[in-house]
Amino acid sequence: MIELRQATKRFDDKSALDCADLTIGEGTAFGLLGPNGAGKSTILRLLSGIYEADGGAVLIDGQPVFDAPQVKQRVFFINDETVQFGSFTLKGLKDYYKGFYPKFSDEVFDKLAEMVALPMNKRMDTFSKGMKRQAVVITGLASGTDYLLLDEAFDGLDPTMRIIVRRMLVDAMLDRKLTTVISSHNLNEINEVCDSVALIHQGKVVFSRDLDSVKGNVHKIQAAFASDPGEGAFKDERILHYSRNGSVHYIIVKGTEEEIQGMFAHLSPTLFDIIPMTLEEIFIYEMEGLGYDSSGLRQTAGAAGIVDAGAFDKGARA
Amino acid sequence: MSETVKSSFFTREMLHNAKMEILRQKKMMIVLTVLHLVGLPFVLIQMILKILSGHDFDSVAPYMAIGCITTAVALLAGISCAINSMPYLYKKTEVDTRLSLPMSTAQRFASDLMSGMFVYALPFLVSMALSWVLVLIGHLTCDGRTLYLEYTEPEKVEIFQQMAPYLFRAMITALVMMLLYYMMTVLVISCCGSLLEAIVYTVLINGLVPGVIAVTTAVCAMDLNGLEWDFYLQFALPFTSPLGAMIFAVPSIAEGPNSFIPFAVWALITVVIACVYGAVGYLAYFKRKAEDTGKPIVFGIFYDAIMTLALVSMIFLFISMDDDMILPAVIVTAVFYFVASVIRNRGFKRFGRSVIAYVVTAACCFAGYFIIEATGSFGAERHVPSASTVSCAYISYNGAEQADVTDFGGMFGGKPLDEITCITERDDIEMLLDLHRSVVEKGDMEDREWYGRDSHRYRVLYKLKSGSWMLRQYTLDDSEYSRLSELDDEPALRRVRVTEARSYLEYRTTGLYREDTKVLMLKGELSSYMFSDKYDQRIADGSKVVELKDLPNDFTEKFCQALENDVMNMSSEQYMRPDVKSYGLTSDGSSMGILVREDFTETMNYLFSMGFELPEDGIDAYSLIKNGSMSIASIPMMSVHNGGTVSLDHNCSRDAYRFGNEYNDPFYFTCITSLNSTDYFMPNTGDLERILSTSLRDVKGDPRVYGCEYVIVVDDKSYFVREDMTEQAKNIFVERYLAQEATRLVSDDRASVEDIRAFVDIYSVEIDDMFGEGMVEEIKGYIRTKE
Repeated sequence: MIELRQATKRFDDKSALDCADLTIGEGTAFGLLGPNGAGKSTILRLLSGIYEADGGAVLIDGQPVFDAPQVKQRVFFINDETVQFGSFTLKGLKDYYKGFYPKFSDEVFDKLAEMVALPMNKRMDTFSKGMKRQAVVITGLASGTDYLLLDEAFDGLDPTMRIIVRRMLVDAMLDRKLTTVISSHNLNEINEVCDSVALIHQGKVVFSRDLDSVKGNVHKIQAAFASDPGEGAFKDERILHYSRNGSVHYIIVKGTEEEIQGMFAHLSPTLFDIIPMTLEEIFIYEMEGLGYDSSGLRQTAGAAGIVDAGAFDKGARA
Repeated sequence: MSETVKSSFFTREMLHNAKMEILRQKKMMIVLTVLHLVGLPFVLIQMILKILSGHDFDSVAPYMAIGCITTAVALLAGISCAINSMPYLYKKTEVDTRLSLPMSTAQRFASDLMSGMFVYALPFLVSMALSWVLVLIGHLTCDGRTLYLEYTEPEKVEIFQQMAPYLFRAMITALVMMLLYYMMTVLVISCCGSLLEAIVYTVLINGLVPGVIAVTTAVCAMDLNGLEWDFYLQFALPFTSPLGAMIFAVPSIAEGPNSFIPFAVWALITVVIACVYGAVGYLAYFKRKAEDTGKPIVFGIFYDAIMTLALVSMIFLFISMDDDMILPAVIVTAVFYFVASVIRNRGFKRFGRSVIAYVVTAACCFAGYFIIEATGSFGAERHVPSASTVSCAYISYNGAEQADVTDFGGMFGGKPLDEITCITERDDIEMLLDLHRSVVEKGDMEDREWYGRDSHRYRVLYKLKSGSWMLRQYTLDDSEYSRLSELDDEPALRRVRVTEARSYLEYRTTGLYREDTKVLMLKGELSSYMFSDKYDQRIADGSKVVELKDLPNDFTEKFCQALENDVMNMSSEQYMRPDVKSYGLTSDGSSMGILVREDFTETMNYLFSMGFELPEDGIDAYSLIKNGSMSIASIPMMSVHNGGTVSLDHNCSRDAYRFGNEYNDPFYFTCITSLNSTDYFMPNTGDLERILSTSLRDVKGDPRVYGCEYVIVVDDKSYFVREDMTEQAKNIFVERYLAQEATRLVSDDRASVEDIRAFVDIYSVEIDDMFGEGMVEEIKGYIRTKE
């Protein structure tokens, strides 16, 4: 089990992680969400023993990670850089990590390498970014560690490879209860692989729970009321976002469907549709609720087809 | 929750990491190996080939030059080995990969440190191993165990035998310096977060540490009378940095052991200092954080330390040049400091702090300087050790000179001090301390510059019971200098003769330095010792030549033992006799500086038993003098004070001490020996008399020369008459010269009144002694008459 207890990390005067509490259970596929600079990579580096926490504790199975080789031997960290492996061949990479991780499996490595069809004896600086990424991921999976930490691990992978890598991860999780912690900007990846997520913002853990409860706890409401309730009726800390177009009100609100219906029942809605939200939408509106200016983000994400906010707004205008 | 498993420090992962690091740097190892192989091994191969083909060693010189360059490059590559073994200290992309590996900080440091050192040192060790094999091959070749015997001149190949100890010392020295250099680099890169800074600060610290020590020592001792700053410098410089170590090591390898810092002690201390650098490097490494990679300087204190060192060295350098340089020092250092501050802070951030830091540092430097000046380096100038703290003392003066002491003036040079030549007699030490005290108490320190009067230079080196050394050097006045004659017969000073002889012989027989060809061609010749180059060869030619190869290996030892027995067994009276003929050993026609008195029977007999013979008869000093170009064949054992020797001067001036312009006839007087004369000798009684009787053109001696009242002039060369021969000289002078001369002057129409007056003024005492009181007045009356 991974635990962050009041973990604090500062870089010079800036706090990257501020009294963060986080618990990740064994065998979990855990996603770290958050905007750039939120502290996701910092958490992963703390967990892999690269950074030492300035305060609090970072524990893996109850033991501090930093400067603890026995603990670090059970953790494999894959960061978002691959340039450092340029001088290795795939075989060299295997030989390199094999000496550090006693449970390293040649068999798994060779099998996975064969699966992704990477050449064993070519220098990795001749590989594409995606190929390098595959090489590092299969090394991490073959290392036989209990914990695999991936920082933007899917960057550079083509869709086919994403599926393959995702499958590798899922297989490893199922086979040997591998605990995976993934930090990614691509929320689809998180959505598809992880069963729990935490939202990190400005060094704090905003929430940490299983994905289903996250999805079930934020809803998009499209409603109309017989008499105009006025904007004041939508001032509630559970409401993350409110807008209206004519007589139609658009509300993003936290809570279960029952709670939400209860919230608005006294306004006697003539139209009351509860629309399920994607993780991206939840992410964006949660961030907005935290004061993150997501208006641009919504547009960008909508244009990219990741977030259906554009359609949402269009619907609102209609 | 799993249990913490305690494991040993040297884990499998750590060793694997080291192995991987070494493999990663294998290209560097190959390059270094090639560079080292082009160094010494290649030169040795060339030497062997030259021997086999009968060529001279001189043609190896270009290979040696190339070898020196490639070896230097390979040694300097230590910075690259250290930096490459810890790339995560300055390369951000390496941080996650390396620091997430299952090793503790200490294990990672040790593993990377050792792998880098391995990459650095292994090529050197390989080349050294190969060099030893080549030396062995070269040696075997001369021993006739190979088929090349008939092409090989044994004496040429002896160089391989002689090379072994030098090679060993050079190898150990290089290894120690490499360790120091590597550890210093590790310290620097642990304090820096970027490659540029790592390189720049490694270079800086290498120069700044010894630089600060040098300028601080200079400032402390340079202006102090009696202290020699570079003498004290040698105690600190060799240990502080690879540069300082090199300054120590190169002469140490070439010229033999350093008296004050034995090689083993230097090596041991330097290794300890390297380990201290490594330990401090580890502390910095341990304290730095992963996120520090990329910052130019990780620890502000490191930057402050470097800047302080730079400021101190610059300010002291200016001050040591001249006191008037204070203002330029302030301007230059301020500009330097603030430019560096702007670069470091990427602008004018914290500029106020920099100003304060500069003002404080500069103020401390200047305050330190003024305190040093005001207190005479905290009393060092006037400090005289107490007798109870002095273990023994070496002295040097123009008497019974201890060559050991005279040679240590230069930085790191000099022959090893021999303990048996150190004065241990408590009375003598008390006398030396009393002399020292009197110099200090007289207070005229500025007039005591050692580079003042040649004839009265005096140096004393105290070996203190604490193990430290204290050197002072002064120019003494006449009365102080005369006190040193008490020591002429001191046993320690007698032994100087033996140690000098040993050192000369060892130099000629085993030294590779400069004289390598002479070593191979050494011949021993016993001849009358001549100072004149012209006759030296002639006499040498007339002697029996003994080839070095015909002398036994223990020749030096046995010769020195015989010499010591002779020197030490003599009574004081015998030893101080000046009129005993001596012989000198020469090598290849030039003097070796080893004198053997004819009454050193054991030594002479040993030389005879070795095949030496006395030079042929008939080479007589007197005849040489008559032939017109003088030399004196016989040399007494003691060459005491300048005033007590006869000085042969090649630079005499005709302008001094003349009676008049028209009287250039050497019959009257020609010149006086300048005080810069370097050749001294002393006539025995018989010689003196013969010279005086046949070449009586003497005048009163130069009063600047202690104890000298008479000078003998032969063929435009002047010789001082020793003080204890003054009476004899005076008798001859008065009887055979002055009377005639006075008479001749008075009766010579050519003599001007001024000349006669000058003559009378100078010799008034002698004239009165000779002719009775009133004679001077009579001559003066005569002068008045002429006027």
